[in-house]
Amino acid sequence: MYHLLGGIFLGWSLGANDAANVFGTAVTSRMVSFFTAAILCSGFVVLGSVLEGQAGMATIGALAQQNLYSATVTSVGAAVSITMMTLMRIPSSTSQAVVGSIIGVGLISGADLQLLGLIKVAICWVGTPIGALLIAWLLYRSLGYLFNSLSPNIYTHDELMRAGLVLSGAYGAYALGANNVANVTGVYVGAGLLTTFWGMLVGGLSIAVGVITYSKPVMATVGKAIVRLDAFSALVVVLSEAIVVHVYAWVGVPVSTSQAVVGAVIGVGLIKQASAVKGSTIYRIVMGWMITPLIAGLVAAGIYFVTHLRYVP
Amino acid sequence: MILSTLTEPQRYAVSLVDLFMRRERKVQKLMGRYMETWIGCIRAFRDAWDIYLNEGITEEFLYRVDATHKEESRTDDMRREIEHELYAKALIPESRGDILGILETVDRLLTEAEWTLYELQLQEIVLPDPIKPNIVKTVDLTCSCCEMVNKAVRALFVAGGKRRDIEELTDEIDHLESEVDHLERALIRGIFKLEIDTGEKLLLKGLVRRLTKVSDGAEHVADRLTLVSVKRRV
Repeated sequence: MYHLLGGIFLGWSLGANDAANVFGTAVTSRMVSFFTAAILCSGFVVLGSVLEGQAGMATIGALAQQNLYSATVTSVGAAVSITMMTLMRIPSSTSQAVVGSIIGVGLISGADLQLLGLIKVAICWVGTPIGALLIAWLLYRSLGYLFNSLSPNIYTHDELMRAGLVLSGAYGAYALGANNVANVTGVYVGAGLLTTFWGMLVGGLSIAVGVITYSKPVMATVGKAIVRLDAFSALVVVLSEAIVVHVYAWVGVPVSTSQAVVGAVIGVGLIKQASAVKGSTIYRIVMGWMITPLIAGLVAAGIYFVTHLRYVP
Repeated sequence: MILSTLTEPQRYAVSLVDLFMRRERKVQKLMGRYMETWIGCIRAFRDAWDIYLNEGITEEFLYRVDATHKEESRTDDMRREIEHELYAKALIPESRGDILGILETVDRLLTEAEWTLYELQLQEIVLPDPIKPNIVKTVDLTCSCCEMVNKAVRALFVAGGKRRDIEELTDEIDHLESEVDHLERALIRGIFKLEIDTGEKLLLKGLVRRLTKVSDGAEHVADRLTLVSVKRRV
């Protein structure tokens, strides 16, 4: 079972990284304490993983033929690249790291890669920020209309915002678990080491541990450096991201919550006609997206290659 | 909200919100009490002026000046209590800043009102008859302005208040304030046409300027309220 450590490590880094996308703005604007956010986030991640994680498991498990060894190398390659991104405080995509690793290991080991499956995944990746942008635009317009009709005083406004951010954060965590648990243990389920249920449970729990132990610094980056949003816009962004990620959980393709957040922020920015996202930070994120699968692929292929070297006297 | 009209689940929801938002609810209640005392102070100021205009500086006038001072001191205590709650992290940071800013401007307005009465009392100012009608009008308009400020602050901060009411109320404050400005100019022109000592003229001018600072303060509050309201419009 020690093979699973690679997956658990990956789950930990995913939790540390992606919790920021659902509770980052609420925590950094001090509407919710980090402790409350971490508890809510980890609980709902486990719930989402166990209740709705199976579709993604099927997709990731079928991308390439896996054995126990290749599954472990895939996980470790992805986890190392994600951890590097986390330490550099760059929100990155675990989904792209895992797929990058699967391709890297697949190419070097000569395993069959499912091209159609990869194309489906790539299309969904492109659809993630675009979908989030559209949903954010619609939500901002419709919820904004309702909100203005309500015309609440300052206290009711605060209460609504705080409750909205907590609820949408919890929903976002649920969607994160449902969508991304396949990144953590999908390859092990594909390799036959775990049943789907145990894969979802172990994956969900390892993400939860990452949320509790190391998500605070990334939350600071997401909340303060990337977006400078008012409470209502933050609510719309988190809700849009949660909806998109949840939809892709049903489709069965793990996607990037970071990409969804950036898409949603741009959607809100289109309405407000303001630059709510710092250009330099977006550049860093986009570079992260491009570098993450590349690094993951190279690291995984490198590990696979090195561990297959044999001494020939 | 009347709790008895709610169903059991609604009551449960209200208690749950109260549990999580108890600091916010406390600040809201304190703000309501603050504004009650604040408008009480303005009404005491009004009473003092009425007595002064009809009877001059009498025991009754001095009693009203003292009442105004006591009410003003109570608002100071309440303001400190609200600030304490806000610093203890009630509400989101943006709202904390807005409330502190509004409290500061609203409080300044009372200080000006109180000092108008002190000028009358300490300098024993006697109003010449030709300027009295305009002074009466100015006091009337100033107090109406303050009543509007009370309503506008309540619309934004007190339970049941609606943000959409702010625009109408702040427009009214602006309108009243510009009428006071007209009267101020007319009064100063009138004062300097009077055949009295120049020193007396300057005293009267100082009094008028001090009195009109109250409505200037009201306009300042209105501007801040508009800003706070607009910031929350989606």
